[in-house]
Amino acid sequence: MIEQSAWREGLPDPSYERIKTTVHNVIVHHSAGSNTDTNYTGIVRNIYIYHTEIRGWSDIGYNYLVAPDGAIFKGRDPGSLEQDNVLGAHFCAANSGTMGICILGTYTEVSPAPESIASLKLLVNWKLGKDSLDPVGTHPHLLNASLPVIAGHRDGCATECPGEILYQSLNGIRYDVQEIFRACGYRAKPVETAIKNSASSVLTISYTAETLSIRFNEGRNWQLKLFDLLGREVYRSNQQGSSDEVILFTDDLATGVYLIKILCNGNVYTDKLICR
Amino acid sequence: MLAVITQGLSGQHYTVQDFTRPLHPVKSTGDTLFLVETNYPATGILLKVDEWEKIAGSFLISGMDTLNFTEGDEGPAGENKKFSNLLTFSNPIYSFLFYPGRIKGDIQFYYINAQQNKEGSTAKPSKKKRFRLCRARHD
Repeated sequence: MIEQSAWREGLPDPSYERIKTTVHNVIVHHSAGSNTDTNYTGIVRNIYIYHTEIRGWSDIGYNYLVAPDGAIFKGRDPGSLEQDNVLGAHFCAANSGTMGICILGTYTEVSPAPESIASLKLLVNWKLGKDSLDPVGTHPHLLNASLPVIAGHRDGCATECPGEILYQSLNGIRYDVQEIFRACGYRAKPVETAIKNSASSVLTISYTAETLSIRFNEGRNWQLKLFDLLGREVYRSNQQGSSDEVILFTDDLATGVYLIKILCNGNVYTDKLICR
Repeated sequence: MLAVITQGLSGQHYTVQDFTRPLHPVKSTGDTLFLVETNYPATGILLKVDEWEKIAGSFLISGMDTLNFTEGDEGPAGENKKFSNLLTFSNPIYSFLFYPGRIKGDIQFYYINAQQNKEGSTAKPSKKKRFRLCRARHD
């Protein structure tokens, strides 16, 4: 990685009070600049001057910037904080909970270089593994209740960024990172999404990339069944009422949509499970 | 002529130039291009226009490159203005051809000079190694 002291040489240091943020979403940007400029350090310096002197921000907005040759520049100076957890200025004026990565170039009509995609995956994989975030999951954000953990700038507000081609490639990046996750044995922390009906006071269903977890808030007399779209029962919990939580590993389930049916305290609750 | 406004604050790495039409129109396949002289070593250029203007469609030509201006992604610039994207150049440029497209109102060019100051650099010059030519002796 290229340190700030290397690319910022000769330019004024940022001077401000850094703020820590706990990252739930990684936001991918493009710089919307020239694809022909190969002076990548120069591009980062231009962006720094633009953000600090013209926009009047305290520092460059992004946490990281990735060049077409795969070089990763450290962006906003974290001071004594961590590079990935310093609050940036890149996501529609709602930066809390996000980490910004800017891919240098414009990707509305052309694909990013394989080297920059490889570095992006490396960076995202490292961050998500470090914080146990689900590569194919979502985490609610002020601007988007279902903001993907790996999101594009346009998932937060009206903008072309990160360019149509790069945006379309994010899904592939999510699954590639998930594959690396599996290979490395990482596990994502569950993101609690209480189901939106009367069951929310009774039970909470949480999903991760590999697990389905149901916590029973009231009563312990329950049974869990899972059906495929043809109505075939593909899973039935063996235990009844012996625990207040059940965790089902979904690795063995084929790709598709399933119906979860839960009998609890004489009531039936249903929800949908999508295995991708 | 171009009205050049240089916001000459000490240590500043950019300057601002008002674009006033008509300047030096250059006819080119039916479209009117304007020759703009920066009077500043520009490694980065962006536009500032009224927020209701459509930036898409405007572009500049520098050397053999045509670079499109698009809407900036960093949010409004205040006072009902907005910035375009930032275009950068490997080496500083001093002039370019500009096509304003659908922009009808006032335009300001922001020129950034992000060159590294060679004189102020603390990097030490590399020392050249001296090699002695050795020849095998054939007695």
